[in-house]
Amino acid sequence: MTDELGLFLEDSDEQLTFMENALVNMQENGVNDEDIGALFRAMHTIKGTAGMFGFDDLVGFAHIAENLLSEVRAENVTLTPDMIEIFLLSKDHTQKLVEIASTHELMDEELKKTNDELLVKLASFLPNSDSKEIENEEIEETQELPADDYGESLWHISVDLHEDFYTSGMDVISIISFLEDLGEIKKVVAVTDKIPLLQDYLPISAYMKFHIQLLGSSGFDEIEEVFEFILDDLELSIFKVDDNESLVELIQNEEEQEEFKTFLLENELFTQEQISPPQIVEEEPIAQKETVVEEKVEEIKDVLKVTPTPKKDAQKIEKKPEHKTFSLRVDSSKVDHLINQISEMVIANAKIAERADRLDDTELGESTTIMTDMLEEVRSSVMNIRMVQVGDSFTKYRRIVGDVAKKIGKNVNFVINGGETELDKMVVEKISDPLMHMLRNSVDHGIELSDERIKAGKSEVGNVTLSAYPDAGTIVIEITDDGKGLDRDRILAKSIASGVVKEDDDLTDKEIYNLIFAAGLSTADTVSDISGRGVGMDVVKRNIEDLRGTVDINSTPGKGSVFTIRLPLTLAIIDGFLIQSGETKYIIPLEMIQECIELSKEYREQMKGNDYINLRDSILPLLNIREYLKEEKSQSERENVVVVRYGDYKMGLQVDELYGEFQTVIKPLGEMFANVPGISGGTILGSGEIALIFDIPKLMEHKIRKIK
Amino acid sequence: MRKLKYDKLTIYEVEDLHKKILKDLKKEDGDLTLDFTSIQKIDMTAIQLLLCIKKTCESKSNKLILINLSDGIKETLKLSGCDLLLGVDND
Repeated sequence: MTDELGLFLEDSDEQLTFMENALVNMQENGVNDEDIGALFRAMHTIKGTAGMFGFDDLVGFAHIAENLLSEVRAENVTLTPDMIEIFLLSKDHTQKLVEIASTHELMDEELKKTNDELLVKLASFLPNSDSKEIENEEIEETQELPADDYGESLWHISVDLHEDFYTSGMDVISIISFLEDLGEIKKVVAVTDKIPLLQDYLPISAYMKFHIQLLGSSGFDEIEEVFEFILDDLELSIFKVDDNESLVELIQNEEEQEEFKTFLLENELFTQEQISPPQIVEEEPIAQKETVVEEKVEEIKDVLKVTPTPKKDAQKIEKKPEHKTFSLRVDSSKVDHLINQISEMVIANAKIAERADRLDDTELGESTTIMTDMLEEVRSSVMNIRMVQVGDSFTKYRRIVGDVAKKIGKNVNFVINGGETELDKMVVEKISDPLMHMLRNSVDHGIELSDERIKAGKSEVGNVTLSAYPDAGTIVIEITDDGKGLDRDRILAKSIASGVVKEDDDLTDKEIYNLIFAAGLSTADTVSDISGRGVGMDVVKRNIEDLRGTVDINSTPGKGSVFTIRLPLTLAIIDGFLIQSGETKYIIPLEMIQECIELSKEYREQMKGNDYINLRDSILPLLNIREYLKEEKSQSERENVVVVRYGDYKMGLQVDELYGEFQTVIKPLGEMFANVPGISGGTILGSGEIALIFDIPKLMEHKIRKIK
Repeated sequence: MRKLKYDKLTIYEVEDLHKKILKDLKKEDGDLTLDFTSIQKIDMTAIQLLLCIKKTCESKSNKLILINLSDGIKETLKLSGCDLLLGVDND
């Protein structure tokens, strides 16, 4: 795939999301101008970009949809719920068209059928629907250009490419072909005199200018739209051939005005009469009348100097800030690269700090402290680049839940909480499929049909909630439903039947619920096309674990279920706490640490060989790291306990030395160590030593299993 | 004569072609013929390079001759307004 096509796909994807968000929002909160505007702009942008690539099917479809939207915007047509439904379908269809366009496929039979059906439906909403959209366009044009006999005018478009124009990824040929769709191209004159000889030539610099004359019924805006995305990459002048003032301006912008005039004449772009009048005025200001004209021209020029763009342009510029927040599209690998480099800097800085400490060099030590602070700031800013609000991607689930519910005839109220919670963009993307799957499950299996709900004494409408919130250095995403809850006995029976667990295994309710994540287990009575095939939940769990997250289920029969996903905030660098056990140094993620206590004599006496202590009247289970990882005995006299919390659980890690905070760059372990339970990665300390990073959830799991 | 060995001549190929032609012109002095048999697609950066090559040849009183242009390429050249500048006539 070429770069440009990639950009096109990315952009279309974004626009389609805008579209869906606007539509779903209107479906729920009623029609409003803002969403209609967003919808129109999205469709319009897709049409524009598709046009530049010559994706005719897509342009054709988007054009009709855009037309209808423009009528809606002009309040000639009211947006009804039915229409929103059609627009949602149109959005899906547009998505398909984008997909096939990107692979240069043609519409197959089925797609063609949908295409035609949707077009008919869309067109039926248009005012004077039988007269089709072309007439509408003509009405628009006549309003814009009342003076013309046939509604057609000859436009002059002069395009001066900036030297770095081609880095925009756009090709002049595509622009000209797109203009061809707006009317008949009468002339294309290329200006080639700036092209240097081969030895001075830079192959991807732009050296040319173009003068294009187009005969058509399009207005200024429509022509300017063709250049919408590249306005910063070229100088553009669009005016009607008989617009003398603009011609004067065009000529005055040229360095060699006389030569330029000759050029225009020779290429028959303008006639002598069109070019001459200002010349006469300037050179022979004899007649009074003409002086007045000259003054007028000057006046106009003055006005133009203040607002150097034509009136229509000025309107546009004013409008822009309303809906365009400035954002930068950067390849995520660049950010990753930056993070990697910062990570290396953190390590290098730690080395300097260590060295300063050993040399007892206070000045150097101070500098490294400043450096550490600055690196920390840079790091968090870079991390911030990757952070996005989860709400933006959550909105799309509204539609999925709505669609699923409708399909199976359930009545569901879907609520999103905490959409402003921020999470790493990559995590958001990777969590999307699992979430979708779980939400579908909640609606399909969790929520009952309306009559069942009434029988059970619940409200007729089922509730599904998707919430996100930060908790102890992790982000929690919860899916809650007030449906019938998980069927404990059936899950257990199925699990035993499929050999996942043994009959005599003593399992808690929670453990049984968690069995639904085992491969090949489906408890749904009927396999619907939505869920119930038993593939999925295991994949869901694996996807979440790949992100170093965990998933947990709680369910009360008759009351509903809660699926809790816990995800780490970031994936590359964490604030860690450095400890030592035996001969090895370890890192504990700082956010999970609640406190550190010394394992004093009293505690040890209290323990009496058990592995728990009484911490302020509650029992704290301990995990002896030295024993667990079979470390040598350490020389250290003192023993410490680091109290960690993850989710609902608390546990104490029995370790030897405590060193303190350490900015930890997570490095993956080699294949050989990748599966050591309880260790999630490694890091390099300032001294060059390696420290291992604890996987606290895994350690807890181990402890819980052991207690039982 | 140089037979172009790309299947398209676009922004991705122009740097390479630029280098090759620079070498060619250093080696021999005379008319330059480019064979377009294999070229399916051409973009503006390529057309601009051709114009540059033509200019360079002409500065030494040599000619640039393009042969075996497909109809599609001719059409593109016409669209760009550069067909006549490159001595290509559509008719």
